[in-house]
Amino acid sequence: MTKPAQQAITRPARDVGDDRKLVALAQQGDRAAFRSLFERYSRRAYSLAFGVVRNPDDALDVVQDAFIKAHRHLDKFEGQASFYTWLYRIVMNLAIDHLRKNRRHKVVDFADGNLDEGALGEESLIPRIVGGNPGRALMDKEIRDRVAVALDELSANHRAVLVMRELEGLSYEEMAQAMECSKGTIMSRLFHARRNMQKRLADLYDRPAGLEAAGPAEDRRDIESEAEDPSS
Amino acid sequence: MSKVTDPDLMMLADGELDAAEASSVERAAGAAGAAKIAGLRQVGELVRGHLELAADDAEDRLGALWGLVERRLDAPTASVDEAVRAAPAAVESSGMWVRLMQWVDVHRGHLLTGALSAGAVAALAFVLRAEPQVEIRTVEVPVTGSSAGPEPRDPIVLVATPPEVESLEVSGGTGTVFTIEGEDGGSDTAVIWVTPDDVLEGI
Repeated sequence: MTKPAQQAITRPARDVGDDRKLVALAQQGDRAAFRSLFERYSRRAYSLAFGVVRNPDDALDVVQDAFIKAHRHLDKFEGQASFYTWLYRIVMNLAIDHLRKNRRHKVVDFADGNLDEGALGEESLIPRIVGGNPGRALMDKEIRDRVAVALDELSANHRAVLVMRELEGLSYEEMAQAMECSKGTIMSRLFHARRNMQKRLADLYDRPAGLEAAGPAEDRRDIESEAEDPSS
Repeated sequence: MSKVTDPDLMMLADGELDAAEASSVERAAGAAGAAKIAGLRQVGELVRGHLELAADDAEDRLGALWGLVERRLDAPTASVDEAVRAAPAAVESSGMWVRLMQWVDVHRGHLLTGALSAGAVAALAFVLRAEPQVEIRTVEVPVTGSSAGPEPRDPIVLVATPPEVESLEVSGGTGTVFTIEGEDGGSDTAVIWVTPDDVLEGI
C-alpha cells in the first residue's frame, strides 16, 4: 500500500511566505527578524526537544543550540523546505545527539525491523480510551505522571518517531528521511512505540466489552522482552 | 479486503492510505477496528497534551532564552561549553594535522630541495648585490709640536677587501660554491649549488 505524501494532521498552518521574508532579512543580518523566528518557533522546538530528551534543562539547551546553529548556517538555508522543517531537523539531530552523549542506560528497540504483519497478533493494539477526554485526563497529575514515565521508558528511537508523528504530524516518508532509515523501519518503530505506550498505560484504559486485549501478564512479558532484546 | 491487520489500521489512522485503500480498510475494520483507531488517537492526544503542558511549564524560561541566544550570537569567541561541544570537530582538526604531517613526510625531499634552493637563490642574490669594492679610508695623523719637531708622517692608508665565502654549511644537504669568470673582463659570477641529502640518498 502506498500513498502520496499527505498533509500532516497536526501541523499548524503557518504563513510560509512570511517565514521566507523573515529568513531573507535574517540572512542579511537583521537580528530582529531572527528573533521573530525564534519567538514563533521556540515553543514548538522545545516540545519536540523535551519529547525526546525528557529533561527540561536539557531541552532548553537543545533549543538554544538549535537556534545558534540555525543562525550560523542560515546562509545555507535555500528555502526548499519551510524554515520550521529545517529547524526541527536541527532540533531532532541535536536532541538525539544529546541522548547519545548522555545515555546512562540503554533501552533497546524491540522488533525494529520492517513491520511484519504476520508476527503481530490481532489484538496487538489496545482499543480505546482513557475513560473519556484524554486532554482532560491529563489534568489529573497521576495520569500526567504516568504518561511521562511511559514516554521515559520508550527507547530513544521509538520516542523520537512517536513525538515527530504526534507533535509534528510528519508522514512516514518524512520521518524516514529525518531519521535516515527506511519507511518500513519507521512504521515498525511507530507501531511498537504506540503499542508499548498503550500497554504501559493499560490500567488507565476503559475497554469496551466484546474486544479482547492483551492481558497484564502478556503486557509484562512484552515490555520485558523490549528491555532485553539486544537485536538493535 | 477480507482481513484488516493492526498496521492497516495504523496507516488508516495516520492518513497513509490513498482514498481507495482507506475506504476498503474502513469497511473491513468494523467496530473493533474503529475502537483500535480511537485507541491510537488517544495515545497521540496524550503525548501531545503532555508535551504542550511541559511547554507551558517552561514558558518563563523559554521567554528568557532569547537573551542567552543573543549573547552567544554576539560572543566574539566560542564559550567553553561550545568548545566542549566542538570536541569532535577538534578531533577532526587534529586528524587533518596528522594527515598534513604525513603528506609532509612523504614529500619531505621535494620540500627540502625547494627550501634549500630558495635559500641558495637568496644567498646568491645577496652575494651578487655586494659589488666588489675596495674601500680606501685615509686617516689623518694629527701634527703636534712646534715647527722644529719631526717631519710630518705620510697618511696611513687602510684597505678593506670584500668578504670571501670559504665554506657553506647546509643543514641536510651539501653546498658547493664556485665562481664563473666573467667574459671580456666582465665581473665574475658566484654560484652556490645546494644538493639535499635526501636527493643524494635517492629518497
